[in-house]
Amino acid sequence: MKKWFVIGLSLLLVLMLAACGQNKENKAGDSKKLKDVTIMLDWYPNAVHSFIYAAQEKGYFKKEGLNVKVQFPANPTDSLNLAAAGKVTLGLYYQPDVAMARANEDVPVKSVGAIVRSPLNRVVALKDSGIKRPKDLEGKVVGYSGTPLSESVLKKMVKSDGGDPNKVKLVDVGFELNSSLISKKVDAVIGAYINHEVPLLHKKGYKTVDIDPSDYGVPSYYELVAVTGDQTWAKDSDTIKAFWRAATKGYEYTEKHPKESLQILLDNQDKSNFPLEKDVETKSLNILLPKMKSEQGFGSQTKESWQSNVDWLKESGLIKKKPNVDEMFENIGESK
Amino acid sequence: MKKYGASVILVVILLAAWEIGARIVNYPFILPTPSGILTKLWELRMDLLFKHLPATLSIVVIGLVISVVLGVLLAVWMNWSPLIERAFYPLIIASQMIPTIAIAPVFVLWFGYSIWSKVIVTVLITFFPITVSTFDGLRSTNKELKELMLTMGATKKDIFFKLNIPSALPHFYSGLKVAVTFSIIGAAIGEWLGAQAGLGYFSRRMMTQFDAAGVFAPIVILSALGILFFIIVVGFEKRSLKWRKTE
Amino acid sequence: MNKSVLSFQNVSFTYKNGDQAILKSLNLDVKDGEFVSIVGASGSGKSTLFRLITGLEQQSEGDIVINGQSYEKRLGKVGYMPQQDLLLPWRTILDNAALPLELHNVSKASAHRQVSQLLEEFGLKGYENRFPSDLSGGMKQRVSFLRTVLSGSNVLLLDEPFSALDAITRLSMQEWLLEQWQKRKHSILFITHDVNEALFLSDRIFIFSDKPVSHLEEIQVPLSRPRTQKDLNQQRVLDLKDYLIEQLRSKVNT
Repeated sequence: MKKWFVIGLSLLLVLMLAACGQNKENKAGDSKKLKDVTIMLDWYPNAVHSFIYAAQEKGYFKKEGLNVKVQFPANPTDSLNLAAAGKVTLGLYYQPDVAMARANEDVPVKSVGAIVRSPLNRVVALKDSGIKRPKDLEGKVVGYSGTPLSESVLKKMVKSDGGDPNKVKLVDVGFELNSSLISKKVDAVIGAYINHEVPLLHKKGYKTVDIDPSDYGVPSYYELVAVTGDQTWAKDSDTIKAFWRAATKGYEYTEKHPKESLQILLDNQDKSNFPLEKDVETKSLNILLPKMKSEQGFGSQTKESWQSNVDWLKESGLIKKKPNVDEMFENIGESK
Repeated sequence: MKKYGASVILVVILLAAWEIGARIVNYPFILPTPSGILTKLWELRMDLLFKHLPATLSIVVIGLVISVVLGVLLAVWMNWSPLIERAFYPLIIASQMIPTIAIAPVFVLWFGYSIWSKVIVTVLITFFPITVSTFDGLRSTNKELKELMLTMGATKKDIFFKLNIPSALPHFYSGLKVAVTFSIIGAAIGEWLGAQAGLGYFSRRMMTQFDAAGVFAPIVILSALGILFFIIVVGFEKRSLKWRKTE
Repeated sequence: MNKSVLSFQNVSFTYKNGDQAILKSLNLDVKDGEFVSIVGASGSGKSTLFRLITGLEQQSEGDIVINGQSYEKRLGKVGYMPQQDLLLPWRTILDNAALPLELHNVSKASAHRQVSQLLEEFGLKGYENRFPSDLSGGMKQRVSFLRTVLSGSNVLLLDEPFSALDAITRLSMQEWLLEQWQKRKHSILFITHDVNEALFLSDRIFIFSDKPVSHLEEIQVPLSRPRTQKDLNQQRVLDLKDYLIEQLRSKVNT
């Protein structure tokens, strides 16, 4: 009796596995037309990602034979980690951090496109604090998200302005940049974005002073880049180039039809984690579009940009050894 | 020595499997090898042991002391008054459901970025096992023993100090053992709120630098700390409860 | 000479949640130095009697007189030895026995002295610093009795103290109890289910019959002291035993 039961059960399992296998094959057969591509954003969807959603909605990815899935990171570092591990095709991250990860930890990623070509990061203080320039931060408390990069940026800014960075107190406030500023727990913050935190403060009725790091000795950098793993690039560079072609079209559409593109973005927002306000995102997109434009083609990168950033990072002690800059990026955005 | 032989062997096997597995996977920026962690521990030993460990330790100790006092007082009060028990017990349980991320800004509002916002995060999760276990312990008082003592002319005070407290002590120690491990986790989490030093703070910082070995190194120290505290509590427990015969 | 140490005068009692009265206008009397056994079926009210005497319960009517005085608050006035030894597991034998003295604010040193002396008499020398879990059942009952004696009262209530012991230990404990009683001259009330035990130990036997208890049948045990187990084989004692057993069985309501 028991023997037959076991045989019957095994037979059933085998049949189920065969059926599954069959299904998988059928599915693969159907989508042999479209190639799966995953892109993990740097954060939840906001104005800067409009071009991706526009490309998706307008069918540009499909035309290039791609089925693009957009993912959001659970941890802020996921997009770089998973791209490097080949678990996602592309990730969005920040140029200085990419350089540091490659140089210090040999994280195997390459930047394939510069999306936002200059810093969005600002030192922000409330107008009534009296702070106007980095030197004024002496003796004050500055909130930040705890990264060594922010520490170095602030140090450089204060020093360039003739101040003593040791007289500036830094406090790790996690992600609570605006609330710590409003509640006056800190006198200023660094790491606030000119296209997000600042408009939000203005909307709440606060007047702000925004100081640009690149005005005070910090070399300009690409605030947002798209990266892919070294191995992914070696295997699938055609797919990545196809992706970028479609993404470029998405950017061009957004440039020409910002209102419509923004609506597509708002339809795709993550309401529970990062709800968007239409007026703030409109302002944001207006700030971003000029920063995304390049004569050399959407996403094009220069060796000079990477080199100057690597040099500065080494000078401030954020990277220990000088890496090979050529291995850090692939300039697929450059139009011939 | 023989007692811990099995545990040591198990740990060695797990570490070996981890080392081999991590090398095969070869994403050292996500999954470090044990050897990588040990190397990093050695490299960072000065900072970790003399700057970050003391910072976390002070939060743990202060948090634990407050939790024990608060937890025991709450348990005694709830045991003394059924009304208080009915009022507080659901609140106490509800307090454990609040995700730290949600309540953290509130704590920062009250305590700023001083050590106290971190201590209160620690207390929030540490007092609970102490309160529950001590309360259950007080409740576990044998009714017949109580009546017997009453026939000997015991006062309410006598019953509390000579019967309730000794009855509750084994339960209290159970709760304390859980609480010390919670307090270390609590301190590490509390350091997300505006710390400038500490093992939890350092670990988080290493995460932004993609230094996976650096993420784990402070965790090794935290684990060692947890084990140490646990052993200390067990030591106290054995001494206070030497009347207990184990199976 | 034969003054009453304990008497119930028209005592009635009903439990708070109960509908039936347990005791109704009950009268009883125990004389100084007497050993009285109380037998009755389970649930017949024996433990209620003890709870009333010790003061754990209050009667609804009537007076309970101890050593000539009627007390409302009787806690701490008599010694009580429970069925299980109920020694505090976290205290040493010394501290367990000293508990009643402690509760009467006797100094620790004095209490320890008194207890140590008695421990020797009770054959427990050397066990002062042991814990109850180290002792046998019989030894624990001896400690429990020592504790009861130290209550300081001349009236002792013993609630089936030997029922949990094996037969052999029980017999030796009975003989030992009689020794102690004769030495210290307490007045003892002793609850038991064991008719032989009652006959061996007591001067009188109170039988708990119907509920509510308004009257206790009292039997005088026709044996002089010192007694041996063999004395229980006398004809009149055997007749008495039959009578007692019959009384008990007929009262078992199922």
